[in-house]
Amino acid sequence: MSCGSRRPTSNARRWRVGVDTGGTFTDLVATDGSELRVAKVLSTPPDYERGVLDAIQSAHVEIPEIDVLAHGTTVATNAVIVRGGAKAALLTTSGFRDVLELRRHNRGELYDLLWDPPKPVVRRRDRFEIRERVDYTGSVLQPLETADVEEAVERATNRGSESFAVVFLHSYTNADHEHQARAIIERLRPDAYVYCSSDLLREPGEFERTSTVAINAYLGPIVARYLEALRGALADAKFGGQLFVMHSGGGLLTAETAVRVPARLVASGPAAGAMAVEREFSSNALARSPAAEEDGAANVISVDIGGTSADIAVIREGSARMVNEFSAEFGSPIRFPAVDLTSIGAGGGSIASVDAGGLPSVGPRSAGANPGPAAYGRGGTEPCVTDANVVLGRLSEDTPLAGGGVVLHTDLATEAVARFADRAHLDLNDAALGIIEIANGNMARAIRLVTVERGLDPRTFSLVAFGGAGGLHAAELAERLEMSRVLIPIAPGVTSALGCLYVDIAHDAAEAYLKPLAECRPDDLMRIFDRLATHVSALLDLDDVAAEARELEYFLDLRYLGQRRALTLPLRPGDLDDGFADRARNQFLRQYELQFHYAATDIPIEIATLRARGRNIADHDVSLAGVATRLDDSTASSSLPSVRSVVTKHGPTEATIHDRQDLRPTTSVSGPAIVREYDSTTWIPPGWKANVDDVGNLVLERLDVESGQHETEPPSMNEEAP
Amino acid sequence: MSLRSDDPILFQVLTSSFTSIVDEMGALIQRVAFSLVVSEGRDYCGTICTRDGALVTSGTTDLPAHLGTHPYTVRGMLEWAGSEPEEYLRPGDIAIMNDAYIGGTHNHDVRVIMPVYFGSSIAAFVVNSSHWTDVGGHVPGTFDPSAKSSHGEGLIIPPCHLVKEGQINEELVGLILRNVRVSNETYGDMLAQIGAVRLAEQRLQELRQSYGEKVVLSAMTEVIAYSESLLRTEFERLPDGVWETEAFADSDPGIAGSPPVAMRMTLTIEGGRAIYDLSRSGPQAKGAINAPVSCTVSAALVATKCVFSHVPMNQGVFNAIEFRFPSEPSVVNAEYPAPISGMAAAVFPGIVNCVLNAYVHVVPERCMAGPTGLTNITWGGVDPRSDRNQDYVCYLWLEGGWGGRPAAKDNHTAMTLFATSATNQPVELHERTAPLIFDCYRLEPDSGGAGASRGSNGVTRRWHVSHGDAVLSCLGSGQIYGPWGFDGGKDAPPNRFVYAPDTEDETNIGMFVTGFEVAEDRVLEYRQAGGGGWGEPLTRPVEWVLEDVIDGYVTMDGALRDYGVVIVADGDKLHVDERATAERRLDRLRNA
Repeated sequence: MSCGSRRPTSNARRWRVGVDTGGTFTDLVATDGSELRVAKVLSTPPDYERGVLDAIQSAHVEIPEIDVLAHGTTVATNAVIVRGGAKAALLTTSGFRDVLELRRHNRGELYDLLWDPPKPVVRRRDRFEIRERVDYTGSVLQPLETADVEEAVERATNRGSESFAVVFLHSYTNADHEHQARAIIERLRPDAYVYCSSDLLREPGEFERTSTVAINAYLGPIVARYLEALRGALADAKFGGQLFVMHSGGGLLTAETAVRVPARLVASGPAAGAMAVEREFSSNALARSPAAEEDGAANVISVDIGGTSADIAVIREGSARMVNEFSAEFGSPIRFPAVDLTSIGAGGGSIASVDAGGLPSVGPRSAGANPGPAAYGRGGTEPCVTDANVVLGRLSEDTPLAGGGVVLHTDLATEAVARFADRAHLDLNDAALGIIEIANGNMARAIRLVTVERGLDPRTFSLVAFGGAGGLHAAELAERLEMSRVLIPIAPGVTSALGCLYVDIAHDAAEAYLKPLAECRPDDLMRIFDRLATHVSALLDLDDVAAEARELEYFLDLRYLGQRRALTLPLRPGDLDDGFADRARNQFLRQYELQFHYAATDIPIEIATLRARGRNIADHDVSLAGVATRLDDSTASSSLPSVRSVVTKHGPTEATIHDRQDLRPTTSVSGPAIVREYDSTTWIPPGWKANVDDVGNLVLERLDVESGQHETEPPSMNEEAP
Repeated sequence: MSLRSDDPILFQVLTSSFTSIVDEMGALIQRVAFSLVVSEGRDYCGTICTRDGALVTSGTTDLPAHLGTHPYTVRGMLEWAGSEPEEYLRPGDIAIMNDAYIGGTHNHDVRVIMPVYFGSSIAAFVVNSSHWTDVGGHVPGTFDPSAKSSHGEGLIIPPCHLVKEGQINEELVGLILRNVRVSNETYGDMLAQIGAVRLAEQRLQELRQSYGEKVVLSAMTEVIAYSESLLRTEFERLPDGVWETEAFADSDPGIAGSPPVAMRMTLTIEGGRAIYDLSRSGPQAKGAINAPVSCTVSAALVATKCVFSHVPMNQGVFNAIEFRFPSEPSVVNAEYPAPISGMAAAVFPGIVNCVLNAYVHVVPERCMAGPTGLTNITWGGVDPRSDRNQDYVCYLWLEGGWGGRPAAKDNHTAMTLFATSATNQPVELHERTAPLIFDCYRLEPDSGGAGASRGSNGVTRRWHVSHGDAVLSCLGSGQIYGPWGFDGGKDAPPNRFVYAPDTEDETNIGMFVTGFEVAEDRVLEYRQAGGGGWGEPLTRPVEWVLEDVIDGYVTMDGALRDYGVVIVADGDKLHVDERATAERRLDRLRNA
């Protein structure tokens, strides 16, 4: 279903389309520069590509008219979490096949004797030792025994391996042996996927490199098969545009590159959601918490509640936190830059169950899209969070989900929740309330982990909730965290898809230098920077980024001689004159003291690495601000009942029903109330009120905000809703 | 009234902030330290202590072994100063010390302490201890089993002003650096420690600005009381009783042919009290395996926290336990100037094992069979590689297995129990830093204690010095006693350290080695034990044993010997001879 205007598409239009595939729904945002359309359809596991095409079709976008398709996908994430990756083999230097399993030895829980490290993605039996050795300078100590590689390939093949990870010691300084091994594997197994550490991560540290490469091999066939299927399906529909995939760092990869670095997709969709929130809210005054200082950029906790999981990101002072390393779980690092995200198994499809001792729990098991919650009427019988929302009247048969794609069945939801109620010895309403409470409690704990446990007070943040189920849980979640303001963006069901449209293509290149700053020659540096620029430009050429749409940035990694990690400072090409070394030194010392609380002037400074980044400065004028009016004319509304029976913590009552496009900045709605829209429903509990801000965000505020430091000026609220 | 009951969210925000401040200290140290031991191995620990030296919090990534000693550090420093805290340390001052007898571990673990002033009085101290690769003495890395007193164990620094009103005390720094090898990296590590405590001090000031002095101080004292009451409640739930345990260091390295040295503990649980009586432990050793009281207590707390892992680690844990020590100086409460540098290889694991081995009889469901100990191996020389030609010192602590667990839950950990935050030093970085080549670094087959739940495998490293000669020392233990099995589970095979293996010069060089000359390219092989087994090995499901053999955690011989499982190879495929296995297992059970 589309909710954009449905003009005929006879004269050729050019679309940019963002699609985010989650475990349950596939979301779409499309724009041609003047119009914006959204769509939400069910995901179609295991053939996720069908859902992508369904979404495009549902938005009435003609596939041949698409210029750019930017895609966030759950395929890689899912494979890691459920250990559903490919059968991979790992070839290591002789004597080191256990590097992957020994990890760095540290434990996620220092004192919990029952805590277990994660299972290695490649079992010991599938790790093969190859006689070869290179030292830290790249000199060969022992030539590669090609027979060892051949034997390993044969044995791995007998075991059914379809991908290979090759990680030899010090290959970051001499890649010959890895490349020789790759050639042998490719000769014997032309069908296999091969990942060499020297192609993926040229830095010392054998465990992090091995883990990164092994996860790539584990995911390669899965991601490749998926993208092939997607491209095939698109090609059949005469797709002539560019296909990009969102990576965990909040940037885009071409589909070709994605297969070469599949582990970069592990937080694909969630990163897109966080980027959308960062762009939309970093300068929004309402995203500054009422309890925060007057000035400054947004402090936002972003929570994306979908069908299977809730993904949480913290955006402080306008920026999402970035990390150099992303882990889908403790002890399995992927050493590629990523948005800092926390994910838990809590969503609309999370299944409620009762254990042998009578204790109820919710999730992490999910009914996903298929069969989905009982209310979907697709054969699911286990009670889910969505079913509880139906029983409580927060969702109902007259508000289909996903723009009409999923009709809800109250009777089926009630039956499922009733079975749970029996086992838990509760009445129906208490059971449904309990399911919501437990799910909200799980999410609140996860948010505490990334705020309170890092010394951040959630009360000084606003909560931005999105995803199909974001609006249903946001206010009560905020209550648990004593947060007083919640923002629901426009089209909250498709925020992650929107994020895909916001981001850039970016390529990075780096080269080690390792000489004292005092002795460096600006000419030398210039030559290296030129080389790096040529390298990233070639990659941008491959992506067809126009010359005028490019931006090149340069960076210098400096550190004290003898140190292991460096400070990265930006550099303009014009800086490389005679006074460069002195200026760089002063800048380093200033920055270093600021960050590390001391600075020594008696230790030489070393230039560790030179870096360049090239990106396209794309036209990001796809903000949803102001789109509300365009959505207006497409959604019929007037025939809806204006009140409905609902159940709150205080018992049964009546809630007023509103359509989001009817809300105006001057309108205020008091809870209990329900705000409906195309792709999401927002529950406004008693004690809360809602209005929209001038760009169309739904703003929920608590009525009983305490006095003192949490006091706030209520936004203008002149009239009560009808 | 209490903050915890009035505003539980704020209480939680503050206590979590304390932890997060310590974590930030750790992140800074790791980021800017120079030595491999600190920056990659993470052998450091930060804490916040009250103005009286009571432990408020540790971080989530700090070395457990150090943290129980920090209260002794602060109190020892104040006692040494003999004046009011505010007279001794002014705002902006930072003290340094490493004297084990004024509240430390061994002399390697150098502490810096900074006061946090709220107004005109000290509200708290922030402390960081980091293991310096070398603190002088006659062998590279300083570990010296032959030392006759702590004066043979490198430079002793009593509490001194490292920073006075913001200015580094250059003369003191000069004195210290002249007394240690690899002074460049030591200087870098020392500066990192200064940065870390300054950061923590600033963060605590920010908390005070946000929430007020009173609230911050209340949170500090209340979290301590909270831990104490949690732990006392746990003790109340335990059955009353008396449990006696013991553990041994292989020998006293100061006495030729000495018998094993005992650490003994009597755990008494009585109406919610817990008494750890160590008074039957062996006499003070002549060699360097002793521990001052601070270490012994720290070891006991680490192990206790493992049994009651939900109790926040702070002074409240100390307060809930009554310790009894021998009346005379002993191996667990050594007196100055007894040598102590090997405490982490002897008393520390010994006490950890005493505590675990006591509680395994009380609350087996929370425990495991015996974990591996720790071995300190250091060597050094001159690095003649083209661009260097400078002194180097390497320090390896070795990782081994953990014990099997109840409910047939195998263990998969390879680390020392009291260093669970420490990380290995990557092979690639080690080889860049010093002239050595690792030949292998792997799990050792058959090294986990056999059991229904198998202890995790131990770890073997082989390496050689690639350029020049080196001088090596080792301070370990556990060559005689492998980690203990429980409930029918078998002990794991003990540690083993061999020079020039598989050659005619092959020598078992043992756990107590001083100044051993290592020739270029001669191989060293060290095997750190796995963990003890839990439960009768003959009851381990046959298919699990087969999986273990396929993965090489257990060999075919081991499967037969330890588990009575007959596995036959058919080309590349392995399978179980069911009938032979059943017969063999039955036979064994009958004969048992």
